[in-house]
Amino acid sequence: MPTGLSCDCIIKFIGGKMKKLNVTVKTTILSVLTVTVCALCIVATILGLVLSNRTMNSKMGLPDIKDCVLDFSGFDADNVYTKQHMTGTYEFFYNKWIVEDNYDGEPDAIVTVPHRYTDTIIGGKRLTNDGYASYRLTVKGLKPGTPVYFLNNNFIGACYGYVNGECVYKYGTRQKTGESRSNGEAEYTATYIVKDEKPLTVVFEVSSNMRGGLSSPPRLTISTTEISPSAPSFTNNIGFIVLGLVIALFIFSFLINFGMDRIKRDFSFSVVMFVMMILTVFSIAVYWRLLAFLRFNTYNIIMEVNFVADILLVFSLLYHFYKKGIIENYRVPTIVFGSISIIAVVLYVVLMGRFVQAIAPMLTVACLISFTYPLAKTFPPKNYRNVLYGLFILSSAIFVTCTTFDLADITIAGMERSIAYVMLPVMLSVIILYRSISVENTLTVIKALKTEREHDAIIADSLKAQIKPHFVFNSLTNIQAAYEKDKAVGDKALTMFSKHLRANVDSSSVGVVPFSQELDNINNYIELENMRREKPITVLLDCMDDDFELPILSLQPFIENAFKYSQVENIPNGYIEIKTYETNKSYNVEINDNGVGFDEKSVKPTSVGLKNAKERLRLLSSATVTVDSKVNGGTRILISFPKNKDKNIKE
Amino acid sequence: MNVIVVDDEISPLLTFSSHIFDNPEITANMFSTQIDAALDFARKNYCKAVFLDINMPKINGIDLAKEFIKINPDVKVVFITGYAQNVEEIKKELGDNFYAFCYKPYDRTDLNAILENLVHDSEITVTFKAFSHFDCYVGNTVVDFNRAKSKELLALLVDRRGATVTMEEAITCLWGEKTVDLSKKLYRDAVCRLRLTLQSYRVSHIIDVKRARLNLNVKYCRCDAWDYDDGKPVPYNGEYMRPYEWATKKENNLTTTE
Repeated sequence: MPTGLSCDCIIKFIGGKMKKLNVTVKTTILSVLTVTVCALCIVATILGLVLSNRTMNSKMGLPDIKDCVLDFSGFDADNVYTKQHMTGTYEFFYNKWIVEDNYDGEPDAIVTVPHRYTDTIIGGKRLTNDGYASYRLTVKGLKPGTPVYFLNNNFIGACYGYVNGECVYKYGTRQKTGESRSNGEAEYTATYIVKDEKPLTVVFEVSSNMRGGLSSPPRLTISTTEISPSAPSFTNNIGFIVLGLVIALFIFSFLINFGMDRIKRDFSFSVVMFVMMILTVFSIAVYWRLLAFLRFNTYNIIMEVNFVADILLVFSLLYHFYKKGIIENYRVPTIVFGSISIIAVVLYVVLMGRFVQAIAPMLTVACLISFTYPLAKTFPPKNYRNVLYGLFILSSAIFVTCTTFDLADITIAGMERSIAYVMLPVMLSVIILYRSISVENTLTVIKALKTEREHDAIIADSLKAQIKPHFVFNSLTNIQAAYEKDKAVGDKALTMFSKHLRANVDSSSVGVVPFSQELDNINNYIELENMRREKPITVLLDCMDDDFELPILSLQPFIENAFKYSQVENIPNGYIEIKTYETNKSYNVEINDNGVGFDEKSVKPTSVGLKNAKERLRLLSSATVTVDSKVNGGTRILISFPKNKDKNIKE
Repeated sequence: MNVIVVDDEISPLLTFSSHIFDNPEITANMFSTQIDAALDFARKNYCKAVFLDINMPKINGIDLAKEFIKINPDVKVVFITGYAQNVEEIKKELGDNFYAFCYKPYDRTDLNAILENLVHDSEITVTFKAFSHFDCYVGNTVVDFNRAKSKELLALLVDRRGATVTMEEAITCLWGEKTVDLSKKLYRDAVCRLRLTLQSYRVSHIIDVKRARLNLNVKYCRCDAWDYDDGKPVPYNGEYMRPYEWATKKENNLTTTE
């Protein structure tokens, strides 16, 4: 198929081009793409929620309120359970209860519900958020006999509803000043049966504690079947259920890894978990239900707690990622996130209004999304873990977004349920991550212990390997002979030998020494060796760079080998060279000779001494040894001591 | 300078004294088993340094050191011992009073370097003798160079009196007949070994080593040839820095004095 072929070609072309690009560029591009995708997810979620709410009514085939009139003409309400979200224009009376006080005048303004008083201007002045109000709406087009039922959603304020002057519901006790709350359930409800074809006047009288006005639109339910007065308890209490599950899961996973030790070890992620717990407990789905149940008045503080917890989540994630090595440089993100958080806090505190209150946490959501960038960058090899992190970040970002919107009273139908549902991937990813990190930390401890034991074994071995009786007795004999010649020469030989012996004894207890000290030991050994040779071997030093440490006597085996096998004493201008030099990443020691060399391929298996030497160098200094030799072409041994030890420890 | 030496064995004490013969600046007071006598002496006479064995039957060397420090809080402690297991701990315990470890069997160079530094408070003068054969003295001690070429290189630096000597110059003077690559290696080897020798006498600060360049720090040194050049009355017998070939030019230019 032509499309298939051309797709293939395009993919191959892009693939080819991609291969040529530098790996770093590739990862950067992929990471940026990942972040964009995540950001788009969030934006899509927001838009989806907002838009779906707007068009909810028309989706369900329900009429919208137009000019304070809700017209059901032409709408077939028979045998259908209809829930109409009454967002739209209402006639607005400020500081008046028109039914209660029998007010007959004109409305003070036309407002759109949900709205805030401060969005309304009466007499040239913006209304303050205090005060009480009435909202009036005309409903027409309902057939006589239709049962109609009103509800307020998410409502812990006090409000009465009237149809044509008849009370149809009561939430709490209305007051003209001060606080009055309900527990979210209507205390009195009545179904209104439509009597005739005349339009119905629907009035909502709101109490003074509804700060700023109706924040959720009332609901009109038409049902020809028997209506149950309360919403299904499952949906209402799903928040509690989720909370219960969450706490249980947290306790369970903490119990499995009980003890302060483990928590200290997994500390950075424990902090993240703790912040998530705060966010869950203080989430809209959970907390306000609890508060309403307990009849506390602290509804609005949830927003502040959530905001602070959002910022804490960003920084605890940053700390955790830094500890895990996912983010290497913490300065830049700290400054960026810090500035964004400060801007967010300033916005929140200084400006008023729902949208601003929503923007502030959304800024922290943006910070959260940006974490997907370092995750995508380190994608291989940590695929499994990073996917979980990504899931956690994305679902908590959605969680925070939904919570924010709800707390800012930007009403979106079904939000509460969405929050509860999205908590599940959040919690799951957190639990699995915690387990996985905990396991990894345990493995690290085990590995460290293993390395320590290896280390001790090597040290013990090195002592056995170093003191060679043959060498000792040879040296003593030479010393005796030296004394025969001249006392001074004898003294010198004696001190050199005792230095050598001292270094050997030290090699089992001392770890690393400065190179200058080791050079002393090397020179010592060379002098002792040359003492017993007919033709002394020339050793040339180039060791001005000596500002590093290495295991004591670690170079001796290589020098011994050079003395034994290179045969430079038989070559004109033959020498063994010991060189040190510094590079960007390491200090290098070279032991070269222009002797007979050897065929690397046919070399006999390395002696225990050399093997031990290499192991010691690796364990104590993370050093690497490279040998290069050609027959009659000399030998070059390069020992590289990395400046940053940690990179080489894993094997 | 008064020093006290305490060692329960006699032979190390004898060896110690053999190394300080002919040194007018050091008076060593030796004590073997009479610890109290040593402490008494310290109370009655100012002693700048004490040389103490660590493993002794009557008292541990470190505790003995603390006793001496009580008598003279400025005293410098040098431990004389064959082998010490916990070098770092000992250094920490004595703090500023710790001066050095001097290992037995005694290394003449090491011991003399320590003594010279003690006498001169590390403001040692390095003296060069250029007339006749070249020699280098740290305080009163002759420096024993392991390599002839290192000594010759130092002589060249002394000849230039603090001016920078480049690698090329040095190679021309000292290794003129060798191949380029080999001569560079030999140069670097000589520089390395010179530095090591000076370090063992604790006077490595007298030379300044840079990449392919060397020079002497003249403010720490004295030389008879320099005094002569400055017009001071220094006897000159017609021999300058024998037997170095590159020195013959200057030798011909110097006028003999009576």
